[in-house]
Amino acid sequence: MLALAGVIAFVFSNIAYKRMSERPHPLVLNAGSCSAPGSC
Amino acid sequence: MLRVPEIPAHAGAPSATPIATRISSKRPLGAGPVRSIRPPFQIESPGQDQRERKPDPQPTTVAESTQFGRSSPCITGSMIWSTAKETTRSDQRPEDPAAASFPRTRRGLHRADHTTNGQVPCLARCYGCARVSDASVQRSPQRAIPRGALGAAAAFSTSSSGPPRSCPAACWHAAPRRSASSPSASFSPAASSWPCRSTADAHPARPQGPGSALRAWPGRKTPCTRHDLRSAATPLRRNGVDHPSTNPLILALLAPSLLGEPLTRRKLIGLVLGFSGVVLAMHARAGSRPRDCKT
Repeated sequence: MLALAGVIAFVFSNIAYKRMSERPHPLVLNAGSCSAPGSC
Repeated sequence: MLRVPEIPAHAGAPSATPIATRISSKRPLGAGPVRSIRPPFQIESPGQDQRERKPDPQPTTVAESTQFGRSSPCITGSMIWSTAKETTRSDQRPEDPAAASFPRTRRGLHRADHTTNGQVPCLARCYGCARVSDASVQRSPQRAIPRGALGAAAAFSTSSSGPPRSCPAACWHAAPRRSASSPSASFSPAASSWPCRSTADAHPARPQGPGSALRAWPGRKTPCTRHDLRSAATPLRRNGVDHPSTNPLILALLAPSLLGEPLTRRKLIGLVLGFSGVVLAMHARAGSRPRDCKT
């Protein structure tokens, strides 16, 4: 359940990023993805 | 008149107590090799009577000479075995206070190192001691381990000899940490009565919901290592669906509905190729995954 929740949160965070009106630099998204435990 | 002085009667005879003088410091030729033998090892105790002491070994041959005149040229028997005989003899007279000074023989240490918990008190009794004083062989007697989480915690906290080979412990740690505060090993070899039978018993603090992947499934012991538990936790995990590499795939599947990006044919081909790569990678990882608790 924890892993599934992590995956869902990861996916929907990407979707939320892409739906933002003013997106920050994609490097921010990559840094946040890599800082997630087990991603990098 | 000339008086002849009296000559004593013992004049010219050898002295009754000859003085031991060293004539020459050089050894004569052909005297053979020099043997340097330690003086016999003797254990003394304050209460030991002089008559009960082990007599010094007597030489059996006098043909050889030692370099120093204090030692006997030949010691009958082995010093180690003669000491071991004394150790065996102390079993018949446990009230002998001298028996307490024998457990440090090589034989005693060797035996005590390879005995189980039940035999160590027996050895201590054989030695006439209340307990085996050496810390390397001291083991507390086998205790009854309480069942449940308390038993698992007690077993891991007091274990300093590592997990058993069959790994009956079902816990999150691959190997229990050695506790420096418990030098005496009191690990229970009774694997059949190991209290940690399920993850729920071992870790009651973990969330144990109805669909929890941390529960032990029937017919199998609880996973031993963290890697085993993590890799076999959920079917999604075992299939590699929750791998970070699947994030773009899931995102591409959700994009048409949530982001308004249509999934074209070109994108679909790329999606299939990417997913096949993820499957291949996870299949290769699945081969190296420990499938059983037995290591």
